[in-house]
Amino acid sequence: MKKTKTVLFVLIMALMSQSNFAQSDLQVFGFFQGSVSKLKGGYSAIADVPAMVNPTGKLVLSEKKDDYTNPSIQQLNLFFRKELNEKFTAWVNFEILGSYNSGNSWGSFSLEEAWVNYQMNNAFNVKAGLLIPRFAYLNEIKNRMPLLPYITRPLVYESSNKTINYSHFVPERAFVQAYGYIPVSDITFDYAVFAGPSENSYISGSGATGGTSVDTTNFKLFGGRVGAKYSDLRFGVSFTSDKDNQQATIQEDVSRTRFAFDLGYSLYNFFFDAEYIAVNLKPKNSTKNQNKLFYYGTLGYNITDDLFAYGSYSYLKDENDNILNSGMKGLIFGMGFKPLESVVIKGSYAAYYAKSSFDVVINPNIPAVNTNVDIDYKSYQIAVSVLF
Amino acid sequence: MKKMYLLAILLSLTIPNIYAQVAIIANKGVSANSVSIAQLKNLYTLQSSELNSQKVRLYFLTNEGSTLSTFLKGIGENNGDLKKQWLKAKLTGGSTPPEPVSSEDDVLSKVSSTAGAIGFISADKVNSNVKVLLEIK
Repeated sequence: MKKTKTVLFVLIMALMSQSNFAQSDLQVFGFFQGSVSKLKGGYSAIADVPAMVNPTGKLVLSEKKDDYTNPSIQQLNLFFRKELNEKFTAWVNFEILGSYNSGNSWGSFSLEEAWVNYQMNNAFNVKAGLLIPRFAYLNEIKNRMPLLPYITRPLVYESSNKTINYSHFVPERAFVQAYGYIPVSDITFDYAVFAGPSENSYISGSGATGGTSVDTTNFKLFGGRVGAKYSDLRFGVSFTSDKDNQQATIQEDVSRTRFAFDLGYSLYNFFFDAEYIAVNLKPKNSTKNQNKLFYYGTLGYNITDDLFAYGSYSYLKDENDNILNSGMKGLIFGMGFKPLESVVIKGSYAAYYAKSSFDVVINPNIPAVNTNVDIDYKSYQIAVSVLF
Repeated sequence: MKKMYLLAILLSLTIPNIYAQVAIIANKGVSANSVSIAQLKNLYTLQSSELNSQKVRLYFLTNEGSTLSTFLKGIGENNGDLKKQWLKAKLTGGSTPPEPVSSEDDVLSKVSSTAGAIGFISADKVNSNVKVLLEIK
């Protein structure tokens, strides 16, 4: 968006400029996570066909098997932070994924965040620019790998899983957010309300007459979260409202609402995190159920201050997707060790699988045939996450 | 029996206290004259960056002795959880985490010379260059 580019320009000038206000030094820091992943699995779509089509009664419509070991720099983030004065802070976050190399067309490089924050007091702050909205708990930190025990994240937060359009489940970006913390005795309440652009499919790409990254709609994303923290217990409730681009299929911008509940608790050396996200769509031009559901739970144990282990289960269902309407399950087991404060060595086993059946027309001269889809992937991974 | 009692008293004098008395100290320019445990916890967990509407700058003793143990016990946090909260703030552009300082003498020196500074040291190391907001036993 032009507004985002303008804000980014102003931010960079503000970060680099001298001013009469008391400013902190520009802080430059970041992290990267490198990994080696052994992936084995595949998917198949096999139709039950009449004998005249295939004497065996089965026809493979699509099949792919993967078995490889891949080392990569999974992610690198570079942060710039500057306190412009006592009330204003500027922040820029660049993200590089997948061993980025423009010469080989590997990976990606993107501007993830660029915002200025105004703090009136602890109870009222405003961020404006390009930011990650506060929805549920993991959304804001899903790409902060040193904070997470995971190498592969729970389903909708694992952007490398191309079976899932995760933007259906979580809002990706906002351009303004008001938030604050209100301590009352031993409980700290927190809130956030935000507004953002429409989903990516409404944002113009290369070749668009109005220029790239233009939000071509007048409707926007609105949402918020309220939460509380008491001792080692944290919980929150989130909500968003926006539209889903279904112009290509049913010629409609479908109203979409998301509700989420998040919970975190630690007791002795155990830690537990969980989220539940329900997505409701109300199309006018279709009677098909398009609702979606996602939840996960992670239980871990801090063996020492520097050594931890965990297990995580996640489940996702999309009524509007032939493959995902029977549900996809994800299972992760992992461990981590911190030889230094700034280094985490992680290891994990991750599996995700889905089975579904639906009718497919393979030939206009014969009725639709039942097709069974089977997705089954397993990966063994080791990673090192480094703060610098 | 008397010898046993005498021995017990001598041992209790020589064995170091697991939990020392800790003073929460502030630069003399800090307007507040006291801080509650709840306020102190909110400051060090970065839920709050102000005391009596004044922005403060925190120092954190990293030397894992009795002073740190008493402080953490007093605010009801453990070292690992605090550091996770600070790391989250750092990686999401939030409040600046407390500055780590390795010795109590350095904490005293930095707090006395830095406007808006707050830190914690053993109560018996306090001098007239700082003010005491709270004592934790």
